[in-house]
Amino acid sequence: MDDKVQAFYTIIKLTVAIVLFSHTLPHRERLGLRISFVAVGAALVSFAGFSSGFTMYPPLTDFSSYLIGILSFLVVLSLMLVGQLTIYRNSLLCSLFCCSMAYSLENFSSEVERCVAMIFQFPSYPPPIVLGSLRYWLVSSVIFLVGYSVLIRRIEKSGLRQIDDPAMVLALVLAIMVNMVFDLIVKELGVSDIAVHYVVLLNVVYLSLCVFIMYAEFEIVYNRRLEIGIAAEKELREAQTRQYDLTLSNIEAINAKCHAIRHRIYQLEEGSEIVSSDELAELAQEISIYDTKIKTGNDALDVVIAERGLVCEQWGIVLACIADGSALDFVDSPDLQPLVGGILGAATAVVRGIESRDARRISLHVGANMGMTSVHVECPCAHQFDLGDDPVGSESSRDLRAAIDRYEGILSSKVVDGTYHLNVLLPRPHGRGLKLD
Amino acid sequence: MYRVLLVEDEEHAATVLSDCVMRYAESRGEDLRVSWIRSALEFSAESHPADIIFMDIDLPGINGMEAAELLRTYDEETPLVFVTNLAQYAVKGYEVDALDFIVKPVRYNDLVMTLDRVLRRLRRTRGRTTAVQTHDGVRVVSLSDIVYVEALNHNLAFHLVDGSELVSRATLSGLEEGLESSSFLRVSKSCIVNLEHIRLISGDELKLTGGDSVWVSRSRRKVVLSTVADFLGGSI
Repeated sequence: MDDKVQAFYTIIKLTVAIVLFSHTLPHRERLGLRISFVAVGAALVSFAGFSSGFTMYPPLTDFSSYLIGILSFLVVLSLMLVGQLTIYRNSLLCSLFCCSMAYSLENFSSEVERCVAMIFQFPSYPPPIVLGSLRYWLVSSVIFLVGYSVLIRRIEKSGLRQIDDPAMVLALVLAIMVNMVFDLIVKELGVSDIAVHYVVLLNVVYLSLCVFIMYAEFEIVYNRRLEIGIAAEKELREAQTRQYDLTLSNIEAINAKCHAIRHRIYQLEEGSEIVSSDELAELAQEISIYDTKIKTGNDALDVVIAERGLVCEQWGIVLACIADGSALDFVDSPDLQPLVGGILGAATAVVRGIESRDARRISLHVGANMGMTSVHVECPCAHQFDLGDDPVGSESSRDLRAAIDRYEGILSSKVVDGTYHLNVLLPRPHGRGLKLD
Repeated sequence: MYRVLLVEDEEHAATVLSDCVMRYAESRGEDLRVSWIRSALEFSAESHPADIIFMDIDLPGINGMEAAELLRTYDEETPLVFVTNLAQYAVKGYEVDALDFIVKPVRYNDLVMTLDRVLRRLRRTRGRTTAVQTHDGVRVVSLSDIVYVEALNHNLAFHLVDGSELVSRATLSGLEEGLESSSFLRVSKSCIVNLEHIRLISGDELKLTGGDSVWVSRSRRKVVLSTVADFLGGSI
């Protein structure tokens, strides 16, 4: 086939391969516009390249021609990266992974097609364009189908977004560069007068390299998933321990309160026969703490606030909350404990530093506005408190930060005039945002 | 001067609260004038102009929550603080856009934080104006009427809440320095937005009062979201 047709086909195959690897990733906004932009950009770059005599496979005459060949591959890889990042919302590392895998798959399919061409040669060379194209696309389709079933679906299950190891991805980019060199050599030798068994040997090595690169990249994702699984399990165990401590602390608080109430009743029994209304009111006030069921419209949030309320009670902290539970309806119930519980825990840690028990107060506000959910806490802090002591920056608030990250939220904290402010903003999922009129 | 209205049926509770408010005013150098009415019925039937309302929930007749619902039918702005011993109702305060609540018996320290928050809200844009030098002369514009300002060809276009537009020859950074209001935020190289007029945040786009949309630049996104978080939380 003509070099330009070959290059055109390669671009189409690369595009298809990138889409196959990336299609489960979230798109960016204004998708149509972005696709048009990438398509027009790719067309312009291709046109400029072809009209200026650019070829993806320059004749290899000396060292500089190898360099130009590799550079041209790198340019193509970079343009693929830009295109992928323009359309899909993912990290650079994830994009690099998708593009390098797509590049390897495309190379592999091209190489298989070349091997098929060596075995089943057309009577004339170059072959007629229709027949040549037919064979090319037939082989490519089969390889892509096999690649999708064997490799891509497994990678999708492992989760593309978990790719966050720069060292491994960069090592693979280096492997890709070696692959590029091989690609150039194999193609060059394919049209030279070298003995056939050398060409076959090189093709076998090259095919193996392509398979190895794809396998190694898959292993990275798979192992990463295992690592994340182990870390999640560890985190779960730690969370269970913390929950156990909290429950234990609540039981102790309730027991202490009950003990105090029982003691009071004994005192009343031993005292005068007539119990004054003040004493009864005092007793009722003691008990009312447990009658006060918080109803925010979100059962999980009610539990979290009630639990934290008991902890606050232990420390003599007044917890005042105005909370629209429905504003957090998109947050999974298990995430509310590290999120709201974590925020209140951080505030509790700050307020505990205040000597005067009368000044211990935490104010919690939860509401939806501007299509976002806002969780706000403010409380007084000791004069010597500065942001270096900020509990949300400490190891104990790791769960809180992880929960905020999970919902792509943002956390800000500051101290203004002796008051500690902690604000969390969570974007509400598409279609559930509130529009204010 | 801010007018503080207490809606409280118990004289003793009202006195305690009033004393706390006056103590706060004295310690912070604020000019606060306190008035007191006994029932929500009186509150809804008579006109009691106020900048801040402290409302007891457990009132005879119409309770505080019902009175607040009535208030919000004609006044969405006045900061409302519940004073209650029924905390479970106060949680529902978001339904009437209550700013905070204080549990009885009121302690001075509880009130300090609440009043700080209320005054922060009142001061965001209250009564502030800016002078805009247009081609026809100087126009004085209330800051709360400005939806957003964008830079266009060495000019600034002030988009106002009534849909009109004022064009002034000035720079965005110069305006930014002169605004001195926590409600205004630079969202991109060429645009400043009044946080009060953001209606929806969708990805990198802000939809504003009047239907206009502006884009948040990638480099400013984190600062914008962080400031919006502080704004919605009432920290600024």
